Amino acid sequence: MNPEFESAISVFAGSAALTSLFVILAMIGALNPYHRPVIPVLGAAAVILASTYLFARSTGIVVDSVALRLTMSEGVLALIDILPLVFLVFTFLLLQASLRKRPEDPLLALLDSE
Amino acid sequence: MALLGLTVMLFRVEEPPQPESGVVAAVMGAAMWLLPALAGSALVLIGAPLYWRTRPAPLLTGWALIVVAWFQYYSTLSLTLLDALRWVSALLGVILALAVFMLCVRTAERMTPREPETEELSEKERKYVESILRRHLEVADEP
Repeated sequence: MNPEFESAISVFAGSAALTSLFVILAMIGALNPYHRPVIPVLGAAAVILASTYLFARSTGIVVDSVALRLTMSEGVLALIDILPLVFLVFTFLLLQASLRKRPEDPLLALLDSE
Repeated sequence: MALLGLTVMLFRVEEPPQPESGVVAAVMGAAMWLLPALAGSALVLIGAPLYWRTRPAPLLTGWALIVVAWFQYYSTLSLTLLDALRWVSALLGVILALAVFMLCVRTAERMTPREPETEELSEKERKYVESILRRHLEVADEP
């Protein structure tokens, strides 16, 4: 397999698996009596398993716990790779927040004039 | 828990095995720009006029740290076509996982049986709610 294509598949599988792990952790953290987490947790677990399988097939290793560890590690590296993109968006939002001005409010103006 | 995980990762007695050692090295490398970025963002949020009150000192310090973070990032940046491919693949992976999650949440919500329609308030309950509303609206109760 083309090494670039193999790398792209590994990164795709890793980021999907790690994001699904975050989803499961968030579901556990948000448990409450009105919560129905079974289907979302099963869905996220299915994504983790499918991603591990895809990763193992693309790198030619056996689908086992080592493959799961390697997939998650690839996910961490992939998410670190895209953090600058997230920070770019966040910098823009911070810039908007810093330049925020109070909107003109006719009612407040009326209060000030009294 | 997050701090405990970070502490165990940074202060370790022996070298972690592969692939975790690669992850630790990548996190340490990213920390050079990530730490000033996080601290700067927090300070900007404290100083920005989110509630119409600006605090200039944290705002300016925060922006200085954000500039330092971007400088640190660009000083170690060496973009290749493979990096761009990795970014796109990572984004697609995240989007896929979130899309599956959203579909599962929608399915779970659709499978939830609908609650029966709530019955109307009785005359006694209606008067009680009315008295609460009147009290809160500072209207004297009718004699």
